[in-house]
Amino acid sequence: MPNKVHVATTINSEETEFLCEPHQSLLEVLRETVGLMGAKEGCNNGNCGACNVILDGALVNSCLVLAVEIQGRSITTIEGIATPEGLHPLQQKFLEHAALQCGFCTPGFIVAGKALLDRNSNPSEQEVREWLAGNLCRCTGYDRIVKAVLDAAKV
Amino acid sequence: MPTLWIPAPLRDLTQGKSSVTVSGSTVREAIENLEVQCPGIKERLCEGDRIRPNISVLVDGHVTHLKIRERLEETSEVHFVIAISGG
Amino acid sequence: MATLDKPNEYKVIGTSPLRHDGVDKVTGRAAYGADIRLPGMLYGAVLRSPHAHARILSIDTTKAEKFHGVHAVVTASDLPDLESKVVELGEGVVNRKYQSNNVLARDKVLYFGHAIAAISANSLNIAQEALGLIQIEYEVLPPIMDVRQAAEPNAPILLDEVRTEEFGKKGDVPSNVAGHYQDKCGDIEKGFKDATVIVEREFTTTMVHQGYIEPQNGTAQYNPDGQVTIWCSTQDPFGVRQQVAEILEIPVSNIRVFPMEIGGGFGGKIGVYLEPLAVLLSRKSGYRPVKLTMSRADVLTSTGPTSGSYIKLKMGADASGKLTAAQATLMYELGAYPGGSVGGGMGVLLAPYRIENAVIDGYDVLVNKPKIAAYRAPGGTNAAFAAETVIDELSEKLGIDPIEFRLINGSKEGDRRVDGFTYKRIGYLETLQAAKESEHYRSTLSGPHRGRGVATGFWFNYGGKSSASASVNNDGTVSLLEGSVDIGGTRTSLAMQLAETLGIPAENVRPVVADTGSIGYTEGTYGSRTTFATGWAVYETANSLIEKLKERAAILWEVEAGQIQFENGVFSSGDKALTFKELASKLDETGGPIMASASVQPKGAGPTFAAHIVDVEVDPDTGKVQILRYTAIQDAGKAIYPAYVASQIQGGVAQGVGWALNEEYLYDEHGRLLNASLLDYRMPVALDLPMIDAVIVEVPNPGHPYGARGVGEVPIVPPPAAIANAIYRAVGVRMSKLPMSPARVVEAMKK
Repeated sequence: MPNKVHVATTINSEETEFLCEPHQSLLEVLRETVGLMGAKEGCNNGNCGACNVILDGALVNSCLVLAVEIQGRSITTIEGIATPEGLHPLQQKFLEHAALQCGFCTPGFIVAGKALLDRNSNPSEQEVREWLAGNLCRCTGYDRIVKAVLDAAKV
Repeated sequence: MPTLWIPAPLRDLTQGKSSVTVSGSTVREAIENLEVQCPGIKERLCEGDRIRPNISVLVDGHVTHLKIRERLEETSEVHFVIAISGG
Repeated sequence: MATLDKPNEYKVIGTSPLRHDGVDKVTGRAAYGADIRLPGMLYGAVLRSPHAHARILSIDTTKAEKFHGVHAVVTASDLPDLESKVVELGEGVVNRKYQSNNVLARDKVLYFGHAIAAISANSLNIAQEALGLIQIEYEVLPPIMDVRQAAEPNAPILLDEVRTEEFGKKGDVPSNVAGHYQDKCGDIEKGFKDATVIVEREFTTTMVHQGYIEPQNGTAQYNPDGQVTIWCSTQDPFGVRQQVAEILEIPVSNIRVFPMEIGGGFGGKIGVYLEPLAVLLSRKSGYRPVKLTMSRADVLTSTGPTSGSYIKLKMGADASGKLTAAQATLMYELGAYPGGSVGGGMGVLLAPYRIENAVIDGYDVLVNKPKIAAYRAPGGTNAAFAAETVIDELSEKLGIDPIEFRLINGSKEGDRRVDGFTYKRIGYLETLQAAKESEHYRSTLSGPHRGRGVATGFWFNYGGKSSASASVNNDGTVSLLEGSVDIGGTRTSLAMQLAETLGIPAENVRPVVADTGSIGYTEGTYGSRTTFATGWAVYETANSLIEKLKERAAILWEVEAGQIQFENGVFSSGDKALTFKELASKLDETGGPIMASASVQPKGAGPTFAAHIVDVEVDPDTGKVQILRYTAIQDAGKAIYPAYVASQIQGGVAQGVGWALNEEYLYDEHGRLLNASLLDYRMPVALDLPMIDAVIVEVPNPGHPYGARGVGEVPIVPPPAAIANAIYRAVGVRMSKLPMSPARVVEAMKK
């Protein structure tokens, strides 16, 4: 029986704990153990951003973070973006701008968008494109995604 | 009478003609009548009692799903093209 | 986005309400195929060939079977040995034996990454580790990686039984050329004699992948009574059912497929890869459910990309700009098994043009690469890359503006194509006119190394079988079940068509994508067919509901049903009137619930044309091409859901830009794929593109109740050609190889 590690952490403002194997990525544990399926696996090696989460305020690819690394730290996933009051402006603007088609990359983009707006509340189009360069979308051509993020910044 | 358009690879069976007018109230009848004029052409178009699966039949510009059973008008044009798939 | 033309005459159609599944998708709640969890679920992994071409001499799975945590191991010996049989699957045809061999290799492996065995285990980690314990002996054979070499008479043969098929006639000798097709009209000798200018060029393109962000997945439960349930992300759940049934020789009626949400398809998620393996493993693992997902590397090595190609094209035009002749050879890669797309390329090549004298020869050729799969207008982009750049060169040599040249030769209703059939109502000239009058085209582009290119494109669009059913709720809402998987907003565009017909708001329709056990047969979401064909099913369902509701109004008002009028959502007779919602509240007292359904196979799918304009800047030192501005104009017939039509256009453009500038398959001399990761298979990111202007032209399709044409595929056809033409105007070189990567542009500039 492999040695499992106990991890105590905060996920979406809730204290959580789980057991995991040392080699497991945060992405794998979120999906297989914690049961949060919003972060997606697109490539598993940090090239598509579909697994984005925010770790202590920093935007990371959860496929490149070991689950054991979040001991004592705080992460936000797509499931933690909306509030009890309703959708986050980013989510609302994505819908209004039709900034998604298949929706698979959308959780990653929204988490990335939040991380951007948390540090730069009035980005330019160029700044938005640079920040989102780590998120791949194959359906939309990015036009509406960029517009949605710029519009959400105004809210 | 309906006009059957002949795919290029089959024109050696129709003395080089790219279209042949034959009578027929269905695609099947028209092919049977074409076979009389141009022997050997039926087996290029058909496999047993049906059009070969990789051939699409267009009647008056529209793909027909009834294929060999599609009814023809007096002025109908029939085309046989290799089936194309989308993605 | 702009929609040209008259003001919208509809209440719901032509607006862009929020999509019904939107909140689930922006909150991460939507369940995609890999999100499924079942009690007792096992995890599967697949062993793939390290060789591009080899005979399998022996497979020994005993060590893997004994590995702790492994439940079952399967190879081709667990599959029925099918005879070569061509079956109809939706739009095209598939040879079931070859498809089975692609799922698990039998006797031979034909490409790097070809699946050979699969394992089910308690965890993915254990399954992957156990793969290393499977022992296989190979006799390595030389791989054939080039389409022209593969077509030569003495080339090593991939499949001994393949003969060149020429419209119903098979050749005598084994060949890698699985098919030779030809379209011919007029007299090209005379045509070239009549030409003032002739351009002849050769082009090569490599395989490119659809690049959906979600890898393939498949989960199956095989019950002891033989009933099978499959959950997967697919464009074609009924197709999955049929394919699994035939590959495993199980009755179709024993299989139920639940389509999960799908993270992109573009044609690549029609053919099965994992589903048959999941079913086999479940049966062999004591009937426990088994989930398989592909890694990104497996997606790139082993799922079908689109064909690489070699194209030779010669075209002539007279001094007035009229095209007089065209002669083309198209050789398209099949990958490992027959079932190709050169027909699509042949059909796109000269589609926009009236031309009396032409010969087009097309060849589908086997090579030791993954079996190709459809990718958005399959075959079309390669052909347009050739034709639209040659047209550009002809127009330039004659001193005619490239859009003007196309207007002179442009196809319209009644014109006969090279393959013989005549166009019905089409919108090519209208699309060109919109391009000519666009602000983009009329604007000045200045600056060094900058250029503007134009290209046009065509796609057939497909009809096919679709089903829908709807029931009226007492509160005036309608539950709609439809069989078309939603990849990009179609559940809403279908709900809108129902709503329009019934005179109710789109928000009052609750669309659901149904599984194969709950809805009538529906072909997949491909071929740009969904809004058109499933739209017809929804339209007929709505009309059937209206007839039934008229009967209820008649009961209520104690008159004959024939005396009930229905207009703008209101049922009336004499001075009595009720809205749809009001009448719905009276269903219980007039006979109970109402539902209706329809299964259709409509003719009349309208083809679509597109015209693209792109401005580029080329860095003369690095060869990097920056897209400065892009306008994509397209005839949608009638844009049912305009925001999503525009989004389809923008997405297709983005894929076309990647195809044009960066994406390619790089193989080493052993036939191994070198760039099987998203780092090195370089798709466009937000930094690579500007805003993309999507302009919708509407030339209604008379074959659809609201005039809709398919829109999803044609946007990928023009971009590589448009960009190539822009590069020429920027730095004076004509590119003839895709991708036009920086190194290639620099090299071309040196010559």
